[in-house]
Amino acid sequence: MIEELFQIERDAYKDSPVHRLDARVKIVIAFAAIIALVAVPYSPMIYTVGAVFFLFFALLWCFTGLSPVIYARRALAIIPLWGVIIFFQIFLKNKYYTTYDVIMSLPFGINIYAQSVEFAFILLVKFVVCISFIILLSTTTKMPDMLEGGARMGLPAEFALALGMMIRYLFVFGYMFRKMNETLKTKCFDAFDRKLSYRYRLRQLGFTMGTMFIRSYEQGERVYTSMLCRGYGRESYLFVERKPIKRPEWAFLSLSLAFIIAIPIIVWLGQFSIF
Amino acid sequence: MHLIETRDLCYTYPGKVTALNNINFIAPRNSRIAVIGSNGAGKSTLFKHFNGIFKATSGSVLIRGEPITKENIKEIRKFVGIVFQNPDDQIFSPTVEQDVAFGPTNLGLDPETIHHRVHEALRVVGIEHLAHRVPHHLSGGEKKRVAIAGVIAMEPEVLVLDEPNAGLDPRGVADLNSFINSLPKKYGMTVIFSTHDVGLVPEVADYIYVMDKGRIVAQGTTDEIFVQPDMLRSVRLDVPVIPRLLKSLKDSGVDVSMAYTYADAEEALLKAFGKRS
Repeated sequence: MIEELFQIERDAYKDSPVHRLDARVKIVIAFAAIIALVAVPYSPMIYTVGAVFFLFFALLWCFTGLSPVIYARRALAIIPLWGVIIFFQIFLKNKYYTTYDVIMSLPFGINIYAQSVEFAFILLVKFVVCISFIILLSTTTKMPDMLEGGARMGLPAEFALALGMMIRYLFVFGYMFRKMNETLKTKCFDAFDRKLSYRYRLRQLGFTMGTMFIRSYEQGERVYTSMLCRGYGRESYLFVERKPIKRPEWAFLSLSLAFIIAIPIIVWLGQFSIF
Repeated sequence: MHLIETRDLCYTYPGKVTALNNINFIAPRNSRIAVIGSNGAGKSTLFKHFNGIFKATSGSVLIRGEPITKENIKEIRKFVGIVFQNPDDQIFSPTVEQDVAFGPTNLGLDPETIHHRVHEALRVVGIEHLAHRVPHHLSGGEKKRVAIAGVIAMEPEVLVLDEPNAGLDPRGVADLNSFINSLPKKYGMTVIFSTHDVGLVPEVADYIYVMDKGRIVAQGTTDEIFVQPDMLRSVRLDVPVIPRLLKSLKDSGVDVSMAYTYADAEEALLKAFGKRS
């Protein structure tokens, strides 16, 4: 997981037209796509809207110069989170349908409904496309740039400062965890080594986690002291310099927003379907 | 009136651990002061009293003749800048520029002044090219410079450095030494630093305080401190290599005058061996 963090950073530091875009442009496009998709009613028209949005995402991804494998790996990593939620929809009735047709009956009175399966597919499309845009944003934007972009767009100063520190110490603890892991390896400790007793392995992992916790606590104390030394107070905020969005970025943003807004409206008004 | 003065300063940590015991310390204007002592001698604890992070259990700390109060604490933290030993404790913003800007921002300066101060501080420590880098991509020496720049951007009159050479490579140490030496000359700053690397002290200090177990056991100029090898050994320190070598030569009958810095020692040895009149 920690290595994933470093990999995300390495990808964000690559160079491409999408990487070079101002973080604000990417944030607005990603959130516009998510809002537009969420706003589409729970009906089969989402398949068409979702497909067009996914093509738009795929086009942007092509310009990043990153392998589709990177996208697939990140999307799959989130499956345990959203996959379970979607899967269980097929057993449940929801407020979007009035009648339900049973397509399969299981023991203990559990049924799978045709409408629930359709609902699960709609959710799946929404999830996949929304997550794709988030992956695009996080893979092509450096974390500090994302924070600066957020701050320039009006993210409250308190959040910006706290998020900035979180970003900074995410990596400090990432390195700390890596070093501790190396130390364990140097001492020939393997948490999956069956020759060692289960209790012993569990205890050692407990010590490691406890040490991380204590070190993070101590680090917090020291950081707070050094913040006080530099005049930290209630009015403190993260310094973000003004940076105008360039004309080509404005043009790209305007076109993208027009596209994102137009597609659901066209599909809805014209009852247009590519499926 | 001294820039910093402590009078019979005592400090006890929770759990009744005495960290400082009757410390009388003076930092005059435009000086370079070394506080030397072994680990746990109380150097860092003493430094944290200089800008009101710690409050004395008894005794007093005077900054420009005034005690530290709630009202003047911000002004004092601007006046006395502290650079801690581990830069990771001090660099907490996502980019170098934002971190250096943290202090000036807290002083309520306008964005143009902040921008100017940040880039001036980065220029002074020679890392202007790192402004947009993230701290975890920097080397130890670069991080140390960022930490110093973050304090310098507040334009303090006293710069306190806690173990500034810890974790630096020889080139990093040499660069830092010349930087410390330049501060009083160029900017009229007073520099106070702690170390247990006694070899470094003659190169960068005019005055030395020796601490042991929370007490000041000796104070004086380089000449006065490094002629007391027994005292230094008793506090788990040692005489630097250069004066030790010269003393040994002297004891063996070589007519060489005592020196503490590399340049002075070179001069003394050349003279002793007839290469210079």
